[in-house]
Amino acid sequence: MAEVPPVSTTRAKQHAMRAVRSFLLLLVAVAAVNLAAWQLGPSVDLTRSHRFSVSPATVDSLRGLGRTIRLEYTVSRERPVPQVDLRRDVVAKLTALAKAVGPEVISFDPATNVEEIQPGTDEGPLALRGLRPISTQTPTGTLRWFSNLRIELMGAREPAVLVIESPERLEYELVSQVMRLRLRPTPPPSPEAQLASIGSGLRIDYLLGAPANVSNPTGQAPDSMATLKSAAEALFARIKAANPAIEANFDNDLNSPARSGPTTGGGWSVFTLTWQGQRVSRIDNVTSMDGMLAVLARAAWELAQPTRRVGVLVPASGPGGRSELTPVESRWLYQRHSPEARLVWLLGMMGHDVAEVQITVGGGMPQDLAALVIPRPSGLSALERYELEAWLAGGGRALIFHGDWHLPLMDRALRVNRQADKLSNMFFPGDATGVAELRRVTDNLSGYLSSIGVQPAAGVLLAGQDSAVPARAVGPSRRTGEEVFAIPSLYSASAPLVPIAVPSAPLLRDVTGLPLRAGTPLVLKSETLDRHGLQHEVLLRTPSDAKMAVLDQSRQSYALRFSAPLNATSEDLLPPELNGGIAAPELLPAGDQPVAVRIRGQLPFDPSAQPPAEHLSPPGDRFVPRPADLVIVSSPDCLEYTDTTSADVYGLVGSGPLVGDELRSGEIALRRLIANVVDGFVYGAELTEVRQALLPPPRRVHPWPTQSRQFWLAANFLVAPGLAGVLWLILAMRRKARHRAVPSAS
Amino acid sequence: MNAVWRREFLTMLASPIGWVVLAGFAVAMTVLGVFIMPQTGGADWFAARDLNMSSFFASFPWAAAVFLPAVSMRAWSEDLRSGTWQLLATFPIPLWRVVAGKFLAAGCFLVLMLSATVGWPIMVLTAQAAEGIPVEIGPIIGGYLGCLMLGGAFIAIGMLISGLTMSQTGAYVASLLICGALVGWRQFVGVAPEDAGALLSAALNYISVEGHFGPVARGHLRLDGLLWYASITLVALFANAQVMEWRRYRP
Repeated sequence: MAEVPPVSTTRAKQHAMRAVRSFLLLLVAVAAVNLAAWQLGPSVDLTRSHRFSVSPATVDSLRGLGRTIRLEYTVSRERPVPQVDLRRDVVAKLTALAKAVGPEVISFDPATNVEEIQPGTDEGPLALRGLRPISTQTPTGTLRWFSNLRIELMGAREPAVLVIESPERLEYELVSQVMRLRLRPTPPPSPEAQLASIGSGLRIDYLLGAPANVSNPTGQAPDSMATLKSAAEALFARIKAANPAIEANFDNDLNSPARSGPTTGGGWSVFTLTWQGQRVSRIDNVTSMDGMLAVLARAAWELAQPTRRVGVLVPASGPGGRSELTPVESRWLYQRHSPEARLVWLLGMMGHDVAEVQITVGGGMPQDLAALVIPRPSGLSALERYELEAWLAGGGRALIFHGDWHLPLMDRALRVNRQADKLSNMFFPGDATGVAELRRVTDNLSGYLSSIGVQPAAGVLLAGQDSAVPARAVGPSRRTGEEVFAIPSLYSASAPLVPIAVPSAPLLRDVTGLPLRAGTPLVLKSETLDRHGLQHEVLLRTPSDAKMAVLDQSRQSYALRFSAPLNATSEDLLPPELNGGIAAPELLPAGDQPVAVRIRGQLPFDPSAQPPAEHLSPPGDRFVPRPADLVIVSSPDCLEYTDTTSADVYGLVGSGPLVGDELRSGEIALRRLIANVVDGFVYGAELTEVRQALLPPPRRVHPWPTQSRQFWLAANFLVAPGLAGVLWLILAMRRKARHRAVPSAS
Repeated sequence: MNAVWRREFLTMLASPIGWVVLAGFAVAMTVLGVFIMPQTGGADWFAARDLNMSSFFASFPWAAAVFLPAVSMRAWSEDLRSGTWQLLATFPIPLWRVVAGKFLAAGCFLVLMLSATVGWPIMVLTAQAAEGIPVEIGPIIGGYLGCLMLGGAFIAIGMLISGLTMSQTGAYVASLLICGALVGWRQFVGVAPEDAGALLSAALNYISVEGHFGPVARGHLRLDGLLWYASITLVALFANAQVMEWRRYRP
């Protein structure tokens, strides 16, 4: 008889089989529920600033447009692992946005407006559509992938394409681009209306001709010379009828001195459009006049529109011509990322059409600039200064980071600052006493600015009383010769020299952490400003407790030692052995002084004066004076913070509006300043106002007092474990007491 | 179930190991949150002045992977080793109630551990108020909710492992490895999931703790994230109940 297995074994096996089946069913059910939740993904945003949901300010901005926006999202199927959820999150955000503002404002359907690019797709056609890839380093190489949002605004000339790497930035960047599209003018519907809207200032030349042995000037089949000639005459009549102010010239005389341009197939048929004697557009190889009115009208209208190009001035002398730079700075700073190159990158990330500008002999300033940014005027030649003055007086708009003193780079820990690729030059080789050197900036725009009424003060700003400044300095007093300061500490040596600017105008109200490194108060001379009829507005001021070390402007350098807290009396800031016995600077209160001003109006310029180059002639009647718009920020070294690693242009990602880290705080403030001023020049104030409404201004957090830090560390380290230990002891004693009570009860 | 829960919880409180775990967890969270996680070029959380709990919550998965297995290792191993399991197995109650009672007890101890870190939110909210800025309590609530759910999932995994072995040390080490792998696989595995295809990338990303815990800790509560924790907890507890049921029938 076969042995019967014990009952328990049989039941164990039966249970095991049931358990496995149930477990598998549970896994399938759980997987299905999770998949559904992952796809649908309802969520709750617990943040006050709506970082993960649609903010009411965004809804208001988009509804206020009064136009429909069509969105198309294109994303690669294969993405880096950290971006696996990007498609789901972006689509969810766009869907929520469309739902919040309504279909009459945003047209977006996830089923039809989301395109997925398969691996191996040719990038050529994608580039033709304006799509831009993202390159990401992976363990196996570089992965190129796409995540682009195409934005079409009804009535706008062209769509915009955004690169989306984070759903958190999507909302702001979408609104920003839509606003830019809206602010770009739209051409009138008909060619005649386009021509009429231009006004005066346009000249159209048509050159038609060929050598005797060439019958068709274009070398191609269509219309004959005679047909082209009569059609051109009729065309010009229509142009003049639409806008009599347009100067139209038809030249078919091969010997005419006005003839210019390359030949085409042995002859030429070329339209040349010139706007205000400066901007030129050519339409070459015209084989037929059919439809040419529309083509010419559109080209003329585009030519007449205000330019939106932004230039960044690069002095012709290069780093070698800047006497204020130390050898370390020339090597590390300008060979790797010059401030100019970093600005070009940053402005490009902000969506501007930007280029470096160099003023060359005979070249002058480009005439197609909407705005110019001058990072640090230094080592400028007489010709460069002359051309800048002429350009400004001709209606230029410029943002200038001006200064008379330069503070060599320093970081907080005497090592390469990896985030911003900076090298500390705080301590001279072999000198461990903590001396900071100020170097004079020469050949800048101080003289010019003074002549228009904006005089940089003769000194450099220092921060006032600040409990977070543990810096101490050492140095002999001029008066007593005794040591009056202590040696500065490693981590705070730069702190006393960088007061933080205080916004005082709406344009820069969100610039809340700009460090005024080597900054100087600006003295506004009312008489000079009024004489020139210039309006001025103070944009940034020094904090109320700022001080200024009065410096002798004839010196080329100063070695500074400083103390904390700074006091209001005059103190010697120089050791006599470095100073050579020259009188040391005073220390004066410099609170609430202007450090950034806006000047508007007609700047002075004499067009009949001889330029500082003998072969150049004065512009004379060619010069057309127009009101300028100038923003001067008196802190050239604040640009040392500009980094090229963070694509977060406006400081949107991370800990939100609270910014404690000084470098990051300064960086965000600088980016907001540049964005607000340049956007204001190119697009007007509206874009800046929208940005300020959508983004909370960064709030700079004060340093923790030492006592407070120690208190909280003790609380977190000791209190909880201490309380836990005490409670355990109490419980243990109560248990013992209970155990002792039990035998006595029995 | 109430009796099981009460007994288990009081045993944890009475044991010196429980209090060592609690104190060690609070200290570890402060060390990680203040000195290790901020990553501000050598400065600590106070110097960085972020005034939020992001570094604290970023530390929790790691601390939980180390300390919570110590809470769950005793769940079944002690009963199996000491023989009290025989008593539990003969109780006229479904074993899933016993499992639930033990899980609840461990969960209450987790709440106690998180309560020991109450100094952090008080510190952050006090500092925010001192700066005169609107207090952001939403991310803190979301972060602690995420900690509870992730901790519950780790406890459930630990209980399952504990039910498979009589050795507490073995249970601890195995739980530590599994929970640590869930937390850290994306950090240490240099595999390029991109090469494995989009579907595998998505799957591998989905099982990562980082992908679900990060948003919750920043104040973005997503249903799929919460369901993920609940799913792991449910599956582990179900498996635990089935394992203990099978043990009941074993000769």
